[in-house]
Amino acid sequence: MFSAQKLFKERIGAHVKELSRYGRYIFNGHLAILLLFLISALAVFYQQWLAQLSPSFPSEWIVIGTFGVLTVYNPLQSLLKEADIVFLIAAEEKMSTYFRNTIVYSFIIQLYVVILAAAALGPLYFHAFPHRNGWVYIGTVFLLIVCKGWNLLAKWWMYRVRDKSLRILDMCIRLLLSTSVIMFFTQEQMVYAAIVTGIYIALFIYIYRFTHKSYGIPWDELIQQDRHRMNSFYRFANLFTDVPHLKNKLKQRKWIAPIMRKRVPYGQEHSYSYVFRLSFLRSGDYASMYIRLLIMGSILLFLVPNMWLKGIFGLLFIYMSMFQLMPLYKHYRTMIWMELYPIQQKDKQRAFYSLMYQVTWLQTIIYTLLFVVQKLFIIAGVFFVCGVAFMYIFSFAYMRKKIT
Amino acid sequence: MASLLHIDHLVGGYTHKNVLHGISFDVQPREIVGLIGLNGAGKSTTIKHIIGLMQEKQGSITVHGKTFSEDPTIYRESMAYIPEVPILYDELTLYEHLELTAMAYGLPEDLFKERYPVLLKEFHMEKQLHWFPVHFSKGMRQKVMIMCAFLIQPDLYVVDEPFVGLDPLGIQSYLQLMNDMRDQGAGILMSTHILSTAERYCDRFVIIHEGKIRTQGTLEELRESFEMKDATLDELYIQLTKEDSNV
Repeated sequence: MFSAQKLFKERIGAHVKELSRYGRYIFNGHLAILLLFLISALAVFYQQWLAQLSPSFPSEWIVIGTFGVLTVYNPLQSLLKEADIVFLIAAEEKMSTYFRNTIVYSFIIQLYVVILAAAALGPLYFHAFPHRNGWVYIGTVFLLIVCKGWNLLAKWWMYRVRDKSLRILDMCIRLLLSTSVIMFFTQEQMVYAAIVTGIYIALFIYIYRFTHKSYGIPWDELIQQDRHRMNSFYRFANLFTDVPHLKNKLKQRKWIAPIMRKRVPYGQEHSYSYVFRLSFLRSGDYASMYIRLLIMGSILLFLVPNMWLKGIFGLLFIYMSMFQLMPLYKHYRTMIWMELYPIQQKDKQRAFYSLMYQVTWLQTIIYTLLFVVQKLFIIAGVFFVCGVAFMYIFSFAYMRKKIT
Repeated sequence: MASLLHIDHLVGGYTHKNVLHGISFDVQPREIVGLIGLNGAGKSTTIKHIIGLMQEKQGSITVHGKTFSEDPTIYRESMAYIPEVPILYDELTLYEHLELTAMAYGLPEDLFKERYPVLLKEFHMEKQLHWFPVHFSKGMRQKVMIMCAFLIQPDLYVVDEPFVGLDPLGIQSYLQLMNDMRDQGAGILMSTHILSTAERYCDRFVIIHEGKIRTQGTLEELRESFEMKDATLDELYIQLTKEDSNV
């Protein structure tokens, strides 16, 4: 006998197990400590920034806008698997308990976003309304949670409509309405808030009626979305540990890849350079991660006030890029051709080192130039020397062990 | 004349279990040898030993008289392998597969530029030159493998079940190229279940059964040893397995 309840319990159990399995790696890793360091540094700057904020700064609108966007940001985790479309689709009618449970689960999981946003935006809120009671803010957050719940339900109903443009229209209307509710509430214009809420409820009833006419549940879409969501989690976890079944998305890189490829001279000893470069550019997230780190580091190099701290952040980001690129060496560990090529192993290592050095040199030079632009000439020199030294020390002390 | 590939009393298999129990056969230049056997007979294991992915427990395998451990680079340079299931780099286009293979096997650049357009045309893959493997069908993937092998034109081809997934034109092109290579002096070891095709194209057959060589020789020799005149390879093979179940 098919039991939707039992199925949900199985799925949620497996899901939580999977999350905690990688969660352990994330919170144990030394990168987590670095991130913590980063976050606390950012928190300090946030505080300093708040202290010198002018009274005309539109902090009220930032809070309202963010809360409004949050009400319609409701990712749904259906916990469906690819095979379900074959095996469970016939039981769609019996699955209602299952789907109800997944909606509740998605809602609860999203609360962490609300808490983070509420904590982060609290100081801004009180900057706008310094004399308000804390309870008013808590009330606003509660309103946000209620709106989120409504919107999640509406989104679930709208899944039955396959027309993308209708969905976008629906989302825009809901965004507008829930932002207005929060806005009127924040401005203590309760009459308007009540009127908009009325319109809002009417809209929900309409959506429910409209979507439940004849449409069925879009299994394929739910499955695909779940996969995307899990993949982004795996990608995140992959920053800390090796996620074996991470299906990487291929990026074509139509312009840069052929250029980089043609820069590799033709010849047996360059075969691995050829492969490594193309994999770096196209596969998964090596190149995009490198660019992300490069940009994030560059921004911090401007934002951080203390110049020595700037230097430390620069080195930190060089370390992170090198560390994150390490798995590229083992990217082809299951590839039989790599073993069959009549090329010696040391050529492979040489090719990997040279790619690693190239991207790290580039990063070091860009950061050094950023110091020069800020007219911090001494730290630019010190940083350049430290960056290059770090690159070689890291490769000799750490990489060598890992790739032999 | 020295054997191109010489296998002498090969005993091998996986760590806990032997799959091959003393196999000996040769592949000479200018011949196509069919490696025939049921699923699980040991064909793929034999091939893995030949390409140097598995360590022999006893016996030896030499290519041009040299074992893998004597000179891995020369050993590997002398052969091309076409796997049963195509193995491709997700990140590389068809062109890049060809270029990488040419580079890795030390093919001079002008020779690469001269050979690959001919192969593309032969296998009707010109339009797909800059496609990625995700967009390829099973047959196209197999064609990439075959093109890579024929691109480097080694002395020895080791081919595992080449026909599955190929369209009739592809099979025709593959067989044609194989014949051309043989005529130019290459040796080819081909494992297959498509016995009717093997019968027409192979010069000799090695029949493996449960990790041992049951019989080997030309079709004529096999017919004689079974005393079945005008029998097809299919009939001979079925006869062989019947005898086996009677024992």
